Amino acid sequence: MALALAQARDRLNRAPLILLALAALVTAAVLMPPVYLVWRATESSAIWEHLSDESTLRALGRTLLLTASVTATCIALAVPLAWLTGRTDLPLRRFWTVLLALPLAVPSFVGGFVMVSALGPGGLVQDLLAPLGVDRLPSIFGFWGAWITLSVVSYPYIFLQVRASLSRSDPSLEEAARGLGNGSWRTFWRVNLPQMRPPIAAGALLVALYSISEFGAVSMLRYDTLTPLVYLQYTTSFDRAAAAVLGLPLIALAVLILGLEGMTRGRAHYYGGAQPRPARTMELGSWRWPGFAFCALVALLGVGLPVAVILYWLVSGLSAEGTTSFLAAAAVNSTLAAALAALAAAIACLPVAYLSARHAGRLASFFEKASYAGQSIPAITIALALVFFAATYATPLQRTLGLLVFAYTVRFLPEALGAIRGALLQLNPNTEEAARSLGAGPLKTFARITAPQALPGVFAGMLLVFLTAIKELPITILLSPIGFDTLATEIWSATSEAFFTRAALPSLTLLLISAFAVLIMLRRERLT
Amino acid sequence: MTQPILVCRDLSKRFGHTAALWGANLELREGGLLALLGPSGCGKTTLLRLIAGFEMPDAGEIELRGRLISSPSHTVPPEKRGVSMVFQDFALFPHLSVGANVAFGLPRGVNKQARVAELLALIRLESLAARMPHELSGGQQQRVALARALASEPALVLLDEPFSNLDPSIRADVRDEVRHLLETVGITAMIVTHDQEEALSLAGEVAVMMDGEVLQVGTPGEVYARPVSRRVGEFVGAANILPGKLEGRQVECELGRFAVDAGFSGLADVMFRAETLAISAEGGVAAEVTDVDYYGHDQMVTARLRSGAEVRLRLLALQPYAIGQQLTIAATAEPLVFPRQTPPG
Repeated sequence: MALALAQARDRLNRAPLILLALAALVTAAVLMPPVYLVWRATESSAIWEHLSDESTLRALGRTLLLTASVTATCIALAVPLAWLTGRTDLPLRRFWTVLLALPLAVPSFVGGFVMVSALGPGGLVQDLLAPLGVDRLPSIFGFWGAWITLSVVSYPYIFLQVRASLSRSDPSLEEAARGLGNGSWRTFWRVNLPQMRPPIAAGALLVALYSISEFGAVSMLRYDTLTPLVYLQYTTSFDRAAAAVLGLPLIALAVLILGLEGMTRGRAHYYGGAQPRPARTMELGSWRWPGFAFCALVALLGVGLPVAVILYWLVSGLSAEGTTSFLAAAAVNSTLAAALAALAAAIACLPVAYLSARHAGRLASFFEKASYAGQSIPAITIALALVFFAATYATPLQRTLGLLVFAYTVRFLPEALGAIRGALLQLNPNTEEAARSLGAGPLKTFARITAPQALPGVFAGMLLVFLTAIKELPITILLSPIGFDTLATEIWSATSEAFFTRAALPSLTLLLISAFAVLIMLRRERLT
Repeated sequence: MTQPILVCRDLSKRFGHTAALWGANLELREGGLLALLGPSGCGKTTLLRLIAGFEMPDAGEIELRGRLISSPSHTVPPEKRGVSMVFQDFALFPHLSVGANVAFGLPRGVNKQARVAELLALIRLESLAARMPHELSGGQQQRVALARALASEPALVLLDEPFSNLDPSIRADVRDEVRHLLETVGITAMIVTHDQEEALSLAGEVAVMMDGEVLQVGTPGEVYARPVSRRVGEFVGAANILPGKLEGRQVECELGRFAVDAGFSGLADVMFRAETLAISAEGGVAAEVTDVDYYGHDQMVTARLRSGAEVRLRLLALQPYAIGQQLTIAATAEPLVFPRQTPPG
């Protein structure tokens, strides 16, 4: 063991200098936006005035309230759903697993659009109820709308984590507990639930980070958390440092949540069994139909409602002209930007992934962790930092496709990194050494042995980046070149102006693309 | 005696604070098959990787065919050494067919198709050239890995624990086949193993390695029958050690008085191989059976002598023994003697 560790250290020492330099460069590029934003904020003469301003504090309070309630709601929804679909004799388990994961495919601003256009003024429900003489509905705007929308689109993060861990976990632990005289319920509380803690924490981390950085849905539903405040400050005032200052609590919250997650992971390390066996299923008995109804209700809210609402607006807007040509341009732009981002992210994460897979050590692990920053730092702060940076140091880059792609890359690098690092870890390093001993130099070895074996993982990583970049909103709004409309900006502007029919087709397009991504993810996790 | 093809001189290698090699010396004759035998963690794989060029030595040097290929200041990269390696997990390229795997190392200008066909015929897998590695059995993968290593006619083939990933039931057959193949091709080869039986049955020469040093090199018979130290002797085969005393050319221990050829006198460790002890009808010492491990073709009987020392006897399984049974034991061959060591710990 000591020898193996020492060998690993030795390998790091021999990591090619060029690889270390490239990895350092990528890490620096990823860390640049948040660091630059903090630095810009310190230039403001009135940091404390801005931070302690009543509107800031109120927005911070709303952000905290929304994040806490959405995270708690998601746990409360996801854990029973994962247990029902993973470990019980619930009818149609596989069908529910897929259906309950699908809300992940609904971008939050599409969720916002669905909510506003269904329950808002001039919306679907009002249209339907108007003949009955109902002309006022309880307002959907504010906390309740944002809370419901975000909970419904983000619970699958926890659902998938817990569901995957349930299908990996070793049933012999449960059998041991039962053998030691614990009943079904006691076993659940004492063995299964503690085992689910790491996946719940990991999923809750994602939900919490997602909630604080959420921009589209909260803006549409007019719940003014920090992100809309930052956006408002940026668009309406010339004091850019003030917008930067308002980004500080967002970054601080992200760091805080990362720290909290580290603490809740607990000290135990759970191992999967060497030979995974199908786990025991719990018999639901008379709870069977309530369980079924619960799954159906959540699926109806998460998948049925968005699809129905979008189709409603699509059909009622079919008579409108000019929609399709407009959409084609937006679709091309979206695809172009997202494809470039996928390519850039794959190339950028290669040195970091290779270093961490092949020369594991403290430095490699630092580069890897730092590269994940983009995922936790709220997108709007990344966008803002780059806007400021370009305006100050690189005016020709302002509002260019290049800068947009750079921002996407910083934000979505972790997705490519995870997939590519995984592929490299699965690659047997002996095949590389075998190639060397058969007379192939380092370059030929990389081209003929390493690259072809890693390619499926690289493609998977690129696909994930593509599919998430195409539905990104705040970065797209702030950094897109003038006149460069994308599907996301189309939905955003159409919804803000209450042109619900115009938002329907781009929404449906995005929904289909994202659904495709979710199905690929499910396949990779072997949940279906 | 031919010139050695490979010379390793005073090789040392540490990883962090752990020394893996500590002044190891080794020579290999052209066309020979040497087994590098040692317990796990003794540095044998590190030595192999130094020879292959995957690690650099901290001290010492390696010469191949009279050319310096490795020293702390000078190293020839693995692809330029003409040393090919067969890995423990075979390391077949999973994305290439059997034929493409074998052809990988062939230099430009060679008629690849013909050479691949020739090699596949050699390993009797002609019909499987288009298969992918995962479609082969373990034994077949092993042969393909060997054919791939032999393809470019390297100066030396290194095999790292080549049989440990194979099912025990086919291991002996594959071993014979590999030896036959290496002899047919006439290539110089070195096999790393921790399995005594494998080393002794396979190789023309055995090098025993412990704690980062090569302690003894010799034919299997020499290493088994005349180990240079008690530790080597105990590692190479089942051995009984009894305390004894040397006086002149005679050693005395609990099993009797024996004539030996030793270069020292005084307190000694007296070593009897398990198969040199027998149940004796006339004369011997009394013992009581404490344990029996039955293997079918033979059995290992453990017996306690009057002093309380236990000895193990490898006996044919013709007759059953019961725990508690009284025996008379005698040695059928002369023991080996080593200067007395205080037992570790």
